[in-house]
Amino acid sequence: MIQRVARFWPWIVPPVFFLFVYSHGLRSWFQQDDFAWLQQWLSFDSWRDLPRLLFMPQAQGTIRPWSERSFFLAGYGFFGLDPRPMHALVAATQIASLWLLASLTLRLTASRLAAGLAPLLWVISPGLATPVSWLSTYNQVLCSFFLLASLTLFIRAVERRTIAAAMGSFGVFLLGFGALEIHIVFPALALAWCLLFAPQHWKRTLPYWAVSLLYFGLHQAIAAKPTSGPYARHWDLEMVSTLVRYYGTALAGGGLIPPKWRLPAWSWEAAAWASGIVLLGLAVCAWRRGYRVAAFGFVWFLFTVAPVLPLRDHFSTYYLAAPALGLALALAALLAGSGRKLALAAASVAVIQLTFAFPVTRTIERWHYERGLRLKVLFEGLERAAQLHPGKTILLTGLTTETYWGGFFDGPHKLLGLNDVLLAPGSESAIESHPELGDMAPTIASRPSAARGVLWGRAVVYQVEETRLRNITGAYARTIAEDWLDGHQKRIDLAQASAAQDLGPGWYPPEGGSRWMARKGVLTLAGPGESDRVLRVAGYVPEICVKDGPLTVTVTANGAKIGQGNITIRNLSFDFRLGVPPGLRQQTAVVVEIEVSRTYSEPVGLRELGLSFGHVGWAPD
Amino acid sequence: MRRLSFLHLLALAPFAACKRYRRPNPAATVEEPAELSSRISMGDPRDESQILNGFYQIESNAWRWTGRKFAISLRPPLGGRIKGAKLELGCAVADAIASQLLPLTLRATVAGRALEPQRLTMPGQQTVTFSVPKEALTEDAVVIEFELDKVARQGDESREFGLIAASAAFVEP
Repeated sequence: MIQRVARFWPWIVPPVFFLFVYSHGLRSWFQQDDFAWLQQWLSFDSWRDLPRLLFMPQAQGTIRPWSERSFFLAGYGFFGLDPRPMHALVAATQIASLWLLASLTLRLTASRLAAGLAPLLWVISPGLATPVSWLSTYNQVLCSFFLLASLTLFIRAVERRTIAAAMGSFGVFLLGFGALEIHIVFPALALAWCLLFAPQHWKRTLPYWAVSLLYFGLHQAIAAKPTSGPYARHWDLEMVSTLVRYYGTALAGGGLIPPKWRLPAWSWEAAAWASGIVLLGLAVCAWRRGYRVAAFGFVWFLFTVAPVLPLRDHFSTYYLAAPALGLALALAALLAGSGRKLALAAASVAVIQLTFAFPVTRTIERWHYERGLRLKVLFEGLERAAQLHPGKTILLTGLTTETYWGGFFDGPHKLLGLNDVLLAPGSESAIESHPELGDMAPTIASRPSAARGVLWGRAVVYQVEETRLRNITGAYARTIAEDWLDGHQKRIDLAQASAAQDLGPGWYPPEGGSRWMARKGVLTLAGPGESDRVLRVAGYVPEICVKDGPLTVTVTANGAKIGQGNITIRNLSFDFRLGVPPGLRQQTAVVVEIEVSRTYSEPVGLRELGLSFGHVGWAPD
Repeated sequence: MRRLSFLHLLALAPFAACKRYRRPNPAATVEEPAELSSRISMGDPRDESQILNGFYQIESNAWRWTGRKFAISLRPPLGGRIKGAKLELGCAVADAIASQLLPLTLRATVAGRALEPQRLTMPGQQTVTFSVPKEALTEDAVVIEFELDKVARQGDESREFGLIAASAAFVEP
């Protein structure tokens, strides 16, 4: 019995070790992009919405129906704001991948030691830390699974030569595109396996190449191709240095050294260089002896990391989830099947990985867990505050950079149906600005708006503390200076109830994320600042409003016309940018009048509807 | 077919349940000590403590008859010390007694300071508004006393009926 169990240790020990290592990460609460994905549910009104929600390109033009869309839709639909079942799916997927890697390694090396070591070495890699701990990066975990499953089935199809095996392999390969775009490299992995271990079968990869090329064409047509910002692609020699950086990070972590070790900051780089050169050298030595598994591991690493090398300014350790298993395979093969001398040298690489990379893995998974806890405190506090103060604007102080960018910016409160949750004016000074992540301005209440809201009982102020939110409305009110009340806002979010204080005639109460006006709406803004060049007027009208032809929108400021725009079927979501006349800059208040040429009579309620607005305000461009 | 329908229902059932109520965690916030409200509803039993005298019992969970004199207490709004406030009394003159009452004068004092009297000339629902100077709003709580110049009696009742009061609040001037 013991012997039989011992035979299966490569399939038992790594999953147990994985669950131990990720004991915190697998309990992390929602954070950052998770909230944006969870909010998909808010636009899921009927089953007819499902194709749009699952397959319409989003976030840099990506289409990931399994790993993002249905993962979050079903997760929220079935379990609400309980992330545990979603983490259970992440764990199950990763454990399945560990089994597949063990099986693949056993098949390639015929060594149970290597079959057990490969998944263990993958578990300690920093590449897995974020994908296992942060639900939005489940795509990396699922992609690794599909790549491993596709290759395992491809090898089986080659060996068995049955139509069923071939169909199974091809079907899983097709499904993999729903996880992550990186799956496109699978034909290259399959070809590499053929060339290294079964050269006579290389033609079997041709159908896979055809699909990948077709996918590449479609993706190029659909996906956004930013020329600036973190997702801009740089096809230059810097890709080599990015590759070296990923290689070093996979082997020796990203430079997070426990302070108690008192090692200099550069020590991890030295360790990365040493282990990287040794591992590459060992693979070459093994190749010369006819042992090709380590080379296949390197090929796997290279091919799976290649798609992200042009993203020079978006270096992310989580991109190493799939590539790291290639290095784990190479190192395990060298440790177990390449002779004593090579194995000893390979052991030194494993020791460096344990010393430098493994602590990074633990730090990352713990960090995600703790960030999730803080966001849970914030979310539950907002939920309770909304229950105690229904209809009031909630202003927050005490948010840190980490909590703001780690979740608040993505609007978790929208899941509670709350639009009026903002930073109290001045509290943004404690938060670092990150223009590459987004514009903070719409999340900060203006002084006049906050002062009038707090002083007239329309807003409450909460301080974010370690374990809960503290109502400090009274104390905050005492810090409000009288001159705060005099001004107006530079930009009005019309979806917020608090906007009413700057609105004149012609507006209806807010509904969801917008507010309707009748034929003409009047509002008061502060005068534009020196850097403001345009008045942005943004909103939406349903198609029925333009069925009788285009709508003309005329905007005046302090009685003088500053611009006009047309709304047709092509721009139902409109965003007019009207030049600022120079005379307005000296004004403390500017009365803006927006008039639409035709209105629509609501069948129920009989309101006269003109335009539905998101926001109106001055902007730099 | 029946099995398929069952499976379909089974698949949809959790989605139907997804709109379930989430119970907010009471320990998730620390609130300021309870204070008087700046706005009361005459039909809300939670505001009972701020209704001092001159009102009859709650009717239809929404309003109360007043007598000739009636009084409430409100917390001045935080901004009242800076800009003063408006005192709004949501009320109605009942059609049945309108002929006995109208025109009607309503006087009010806030913290003993008399406000400009308001004249009611129409029956039905209305909001009577008084301007309150900031000097009257310096305390954490103020007593507001109202007085009508006329009241009505119905049938054999000895009770005096004035207004139908629904709400009272300090609002931004």
